[in-house]
Amino acid sequence: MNCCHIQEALPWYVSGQLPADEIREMAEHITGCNDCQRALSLMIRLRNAYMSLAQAGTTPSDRVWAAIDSKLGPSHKPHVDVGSFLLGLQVGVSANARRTQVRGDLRIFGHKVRIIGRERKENHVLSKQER
Amino acid sequence: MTGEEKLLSMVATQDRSAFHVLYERYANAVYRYALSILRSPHLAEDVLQETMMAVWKGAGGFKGRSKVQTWILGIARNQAHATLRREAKGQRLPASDPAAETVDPTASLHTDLRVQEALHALPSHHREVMHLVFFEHLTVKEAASVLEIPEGTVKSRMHHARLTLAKELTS
Repeated sequence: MNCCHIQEALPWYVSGQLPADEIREMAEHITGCNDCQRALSLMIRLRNAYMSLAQAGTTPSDRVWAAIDSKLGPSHKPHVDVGSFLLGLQVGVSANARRTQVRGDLRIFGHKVRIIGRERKENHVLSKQER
Repeated sequence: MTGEEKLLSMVATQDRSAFHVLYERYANAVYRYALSILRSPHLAEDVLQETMMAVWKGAGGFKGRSKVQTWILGIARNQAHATLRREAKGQRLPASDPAAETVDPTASLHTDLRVQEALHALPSHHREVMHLVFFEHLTVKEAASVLEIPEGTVKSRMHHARLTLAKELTS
């Protein structure tokens, strides 16, 4: 490795994007070379300056996700959750609009009591338990 | 299949929760990269939005030949340069005035003002190489893939950017 090769690879050396054996080889050269030591010092300053500048005030606003979300349109699977943590009751109901499937579960203090499947009959059971 | 690839494959099935996770993971990187090219927060947000919509629609086309990060940044680059061309035609792009950008005023306390000015003055194709290497930690090969240029060109652009900035630091 000569100075030209070392200095060309310095940006990736300081950003840690080189294989371990190449880093070792470069480190050995730089230790004994004043020119490459100066070049490395300069590269670190450049990197720090760039990082400082690029990090300043650079996060997108929440409006971007809101705009994307609205473009995606309504979700395919409507989901409804009903909960009453004050009473220690948690009732979950989900419906798949495509297959008109209705599922439900009732939890009391975190314990699942019954899972309601597809049939309407079982949904009535849930309704009674909720009452 | 990596975790990122699995996430993208879920997005390909139109899984909105997975898409939101992917957005949270890459939004800052895409926005900052777009900002390094366009230098306008408003336009960079437009590019972020267009890029993520392209990811949503095109996730199924990801072949796994590159990292997910590289693939997304490649899309962002195309979107940003399309915006750059469009805005240049309409001359709505902000002038290369450092004051026009949103910059933390305390940043200049920690870095050399002259270097910052020189960074602003760099041509966008040099600045974006610096961004991909220093900020996104891409290898030469990955940066070349995002920029769609030979690896030697990545190195030469980096070399020219370094020389320009070195003058400011050593003068």
